[in-house]
Amino acid sequence: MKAVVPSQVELTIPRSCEFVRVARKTAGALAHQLRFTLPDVYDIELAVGEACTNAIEHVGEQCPEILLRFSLHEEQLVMEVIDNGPGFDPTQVSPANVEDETIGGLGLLVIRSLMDELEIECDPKAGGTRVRMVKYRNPK
Amino acid sequence: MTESGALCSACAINADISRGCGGSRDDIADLENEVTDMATPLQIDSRLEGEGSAVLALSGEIDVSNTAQVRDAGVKLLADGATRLVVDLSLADYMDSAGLGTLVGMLKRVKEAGGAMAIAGPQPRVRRLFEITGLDQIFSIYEDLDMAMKEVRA
Repeated sequence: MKAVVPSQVELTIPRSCEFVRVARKTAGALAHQLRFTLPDVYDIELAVGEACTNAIEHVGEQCPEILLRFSLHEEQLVMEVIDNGPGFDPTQVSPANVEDETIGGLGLLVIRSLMDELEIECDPKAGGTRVRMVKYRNPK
Repeated sequence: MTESGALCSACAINADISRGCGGSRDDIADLENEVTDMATPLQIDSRLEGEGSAVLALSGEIDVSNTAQVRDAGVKLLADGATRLVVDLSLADYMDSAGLGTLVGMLKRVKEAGGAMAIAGPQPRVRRLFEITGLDQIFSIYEDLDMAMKEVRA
């Protein structure tokens, strides 16, 4: 299938770790359609997986679903992971602590390392978090 | 918009194909096949090697959905007397930060038991995850199983 750009794909997954794989495989398939290199496809899968895992861990039971929105462009893939949970302050995320098995904050570190752009928007009043990631096919 | 299909009964995918992408159902079916084709389930092979050493070989994809299985397999090896542990990642196609966290927990348990742990043969993309997070400075990582086993037995 040839990629048609610009175009948009949306995917809604249940708030369950079992569906993180579905989300990241979808991201990988779309990146493949845009002819990203295989290492970049892998980075995109990993970043989307980490963002979904973070969302699932933070949203709580009042948010049963996670929305993913992919915007396909000639030279970039924009990925948004959106939830309606209570939100969190990314500046308050503890640095990764290797003495702690959960090593919170590691996911964000991985995303920052792999993506060309990362924005995190939280609305502490209305709730909800939107993680927006951009990967360029040819890095700036 | 919009034509919608389903990847499975529990998640929905909507493709905005209003810009002229024909054959919408087929395109989504192609995407579904591509997604399915790329899945490689986790397989765990744990074995005691004698003299307190053991190998935990992980193949396929290690992610947040299956790290509990990895942790349980490691805990069982320690309970069975292993204190010199090699985690063989040579056939692991994918690992996320949850997988790394599980290995950190395993390393902590091994050290508390007075033992040693090493990582064997991670593929470049998995090794890169160790490097990005700085955990390549915490773990002893070797090119292959023999080198890693020699290290933990030293």
